[in-house]
Amino acid sequence: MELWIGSINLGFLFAFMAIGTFITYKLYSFPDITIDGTFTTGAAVASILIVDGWNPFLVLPVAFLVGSLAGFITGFIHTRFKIEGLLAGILVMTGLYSVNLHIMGKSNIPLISNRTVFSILSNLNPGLNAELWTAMALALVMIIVWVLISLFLKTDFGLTMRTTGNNPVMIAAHGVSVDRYKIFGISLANGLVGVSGALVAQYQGFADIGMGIGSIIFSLASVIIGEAVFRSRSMFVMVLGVVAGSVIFRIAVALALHIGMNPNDLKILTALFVLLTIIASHAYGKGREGPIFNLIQSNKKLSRWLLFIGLLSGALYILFLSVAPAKTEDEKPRIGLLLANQSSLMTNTRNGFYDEMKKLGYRNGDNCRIIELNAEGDIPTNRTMVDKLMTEKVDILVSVSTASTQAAIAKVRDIPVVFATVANPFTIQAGVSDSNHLPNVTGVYGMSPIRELLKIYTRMFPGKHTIGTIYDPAYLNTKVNMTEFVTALSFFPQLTMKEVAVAGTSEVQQAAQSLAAKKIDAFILINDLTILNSLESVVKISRQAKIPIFSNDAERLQDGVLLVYGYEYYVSGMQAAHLVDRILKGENPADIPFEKFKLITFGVNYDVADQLGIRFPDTIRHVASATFIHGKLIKRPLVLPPENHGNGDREMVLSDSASSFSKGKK
Amino acid sequence: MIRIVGVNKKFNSGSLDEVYALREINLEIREHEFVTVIGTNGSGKSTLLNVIAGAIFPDSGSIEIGGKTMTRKRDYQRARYVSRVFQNPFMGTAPDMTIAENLLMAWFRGKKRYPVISLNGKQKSFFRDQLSQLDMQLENRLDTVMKTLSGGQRQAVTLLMAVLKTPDVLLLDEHTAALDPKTAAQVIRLTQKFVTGHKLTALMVTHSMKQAIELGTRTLMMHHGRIIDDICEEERQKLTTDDFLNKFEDIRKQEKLTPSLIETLKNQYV
Ligand SMILES: Nc1ncnc2c1ncn2[C@@H]1O[C@H](COP(=O)(O)OP(=O)(O)OP(=O)(O)O)[C@@H](O)[C@H]1O
Ligand SMILES: [Mg+2]
Repeated sequence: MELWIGSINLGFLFAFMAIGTFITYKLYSFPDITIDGTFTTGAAVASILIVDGWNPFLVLPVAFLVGSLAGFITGFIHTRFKIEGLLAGILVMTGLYSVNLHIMGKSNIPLISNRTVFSILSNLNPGLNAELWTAMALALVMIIVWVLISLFLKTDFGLTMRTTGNNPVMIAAHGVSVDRYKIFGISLANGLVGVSGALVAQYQGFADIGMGIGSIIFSLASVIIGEAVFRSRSMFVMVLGVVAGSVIFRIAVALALHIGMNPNDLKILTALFVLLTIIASHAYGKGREGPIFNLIQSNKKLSRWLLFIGLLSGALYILFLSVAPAKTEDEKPRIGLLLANQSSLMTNTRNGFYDEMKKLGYRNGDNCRIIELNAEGDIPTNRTMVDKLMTEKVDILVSVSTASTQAAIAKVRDIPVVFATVANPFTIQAGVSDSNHLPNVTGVYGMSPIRELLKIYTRMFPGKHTIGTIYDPAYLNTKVNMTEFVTALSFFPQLTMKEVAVAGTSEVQQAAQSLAAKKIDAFILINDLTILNSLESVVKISRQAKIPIFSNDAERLQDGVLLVYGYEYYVSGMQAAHLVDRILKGENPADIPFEKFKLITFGVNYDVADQLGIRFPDTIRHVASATFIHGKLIKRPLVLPPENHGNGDREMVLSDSASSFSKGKK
Repeated sequence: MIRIVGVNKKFNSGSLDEVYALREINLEIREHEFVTVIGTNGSGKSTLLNVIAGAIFPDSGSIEIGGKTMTRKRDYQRARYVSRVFQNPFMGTAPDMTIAENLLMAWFRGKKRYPVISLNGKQKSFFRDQLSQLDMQLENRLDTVMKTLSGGQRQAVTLLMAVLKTPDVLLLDEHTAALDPKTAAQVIRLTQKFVTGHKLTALMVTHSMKQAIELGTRTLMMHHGRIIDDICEEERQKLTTDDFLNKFEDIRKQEKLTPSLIETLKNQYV
């Protein structure tokens, strides 16, 4: 039930965006890609203003204005410089990425403890199901928007706008500046997209720099579905179709997830769907020649029927699912496991979780059921997956990664949430301290131990040094880690740092090269997904320029890094399993403090050391818990240190240091 | 009404396919004059109309319409004074809009458009009256989508749209060339009716010698971007089609025309 109403709500919120795309795509015949950026811009502006204390309703017109400004720029470039609409959109979208990062100041802004349109709405709830109440309110809003937009498109101004797209030569001959109307239309469209972003951010409880990626295709799909279902010339019916298309699309996404489809496949299916529908509509429209077109044309009726039957059976299936009583398979606990993507961080945590659960006596499918979902890197999907796990009636939800945790805690209030592999739960407002946190939330966290890594470095290489680092500011965790890095540096006045920011993996090699050219003595790498995913580029430069790499990622020792000092995310999963066990045995999550990661791997790579002509001092040789030598990785088995034992490895390395880092940071 | 002084227009200037579309055009058209324009393919007739309409800016020279300098005004800025019908019957109307909506767009020619709904019953009955002038039974099909009409019907509606809000200048560029002879004749009748009825100043490009002589009050002949002949009312009345062809001969004698051109003219105009 939650899943379906949740997706109807998302459909409503995305309908603003779909109406925007309807304007550019149906009226001006080009899909405006700017919206991939504008959607995030709307969310970004709304979030910083809400955090700043603005009324969450007042931020909507601001998001509209900022969105239309972006659209204005696209329209201006498109009309004045005669640059194709598609290209103009790509240009502005690319530029908006930087703008959005600047507006947000970081890659992610949490809103869960702020007043949002939806929190205000839920305060007015007379006692209905929360999602249902939201759906009712949104339905009312959608009716108003629908009527207003349809009426607007029927006014003299709106008619002129439509004619501008339909026959620019003719309307210019009748005294209309096509350029001006086009700019207006694109601005209006992007304004609506901005509102959509502002609303979605408030609904899902955060704004994220990556939330707009791929919007245009989803939006196009909505418009096309709407058109296919509601075939009419009436503006009212057409706009209604767009709203319905948006809702149908979101329900289709939920349905795909429900039947266990991989969200990655969902993307290619959407792309194929849009492609096929466009080919089909070309065939309908222009009577084109060719085998495919002929087939479609000759089967016009048939395909219409197929579409109808498909939609009908989909609707019936959903109806069946929402009416059918949820299968509450006896009493065994149901555990929802939510991962954000397929990176090694996630899979290691997951494996650790599964293995430790088994050791604790939970046999999946036998005396417990673990329902695992992966958002495959798509941020809004996390939210839908949380809804999905709710419909599965899980007793406890385990969220791995910051993005999944954010989605989980924004939504879930009445069942326990255990997070794992989160750098800093406080920045996402899961709590204010280890023991003072949201009552249904607990988990395992830890920032990369950058200060310890620097300590080891200075121990190996005393004296003045210049170190270099590369990071991608688009990740929330990176921002947190970099702040830590800079703080840690203040303890090592002999080190000078050169840093290079990148946007995406393709820039990493150049960044490494530029650092090498600045004659750095070592690469010190924090845990940053972009850098982890393109470590090979840094290694390549490291080999060429004979500069060693020190990394916080325990898992890449064998890949050409000289030395690693970092958390084992496998153990993070193990710790999470213990927390789940405690909660299932009756402990209240409110009383379980957040835990830091317990196991650190200190690894050295002798092969790389040989290549670089470096010898590890004995102090380091003896304490290393992992070694890579002659192409072989030797690692201690990963076991949880006994309670209250503290950080064994850490103490070994740093025992002679004056300040004790093992106390951790505040 | 229209004064064109020293207008030149070159296309693809400086490149290999440089074309002199208009050379030193000087032309004055008085109010209520109905001018027909003939000439070979590529002689610059459409370019002349485009320059008057503002779809193309001349390289040099000036254009005045109704006493106002318009040289640098864009087409949509001139639309208050100038309206036009194109050769292609698909160009003059918005295919996915209804007849009524198209007429409304024309009704607002040169005026500001506000976000109010003015396509009401009263407006529609006015359009219905106007449509009945076309004699094509379109008056009962106000809500028909334009693209479902035939080329002739669409051209007739385009013509009606051009004169719906009486323009100072009406420009017609071979607006019957794409129609079958019967429909073409019908559209020509309508053209005559509208131009004389509204006392319009009009320029009509045509490839039909017959139309050129029978219609209007004055005929221009263009060649290689120049107006090589300008035949006024009195002179025209004495002319027959043959006389026209002889006229081409004369011009040749004055070495304005090449024999091949005569050939083309004969083929085209007889
Ligand atoms: N946009 C343009 N770009 C380049 N050359 C052009 C352009 N428009 C017209 N021309 C050239 O200018 C010359 C005059 O063209 P124009 O269309 O005015 O001729 P026309 O007298 O209307 O011919 P037709 O009888 O075929 O319609 C031609 O050689 C044409 O190729
Ligand atoms: Mg022409």
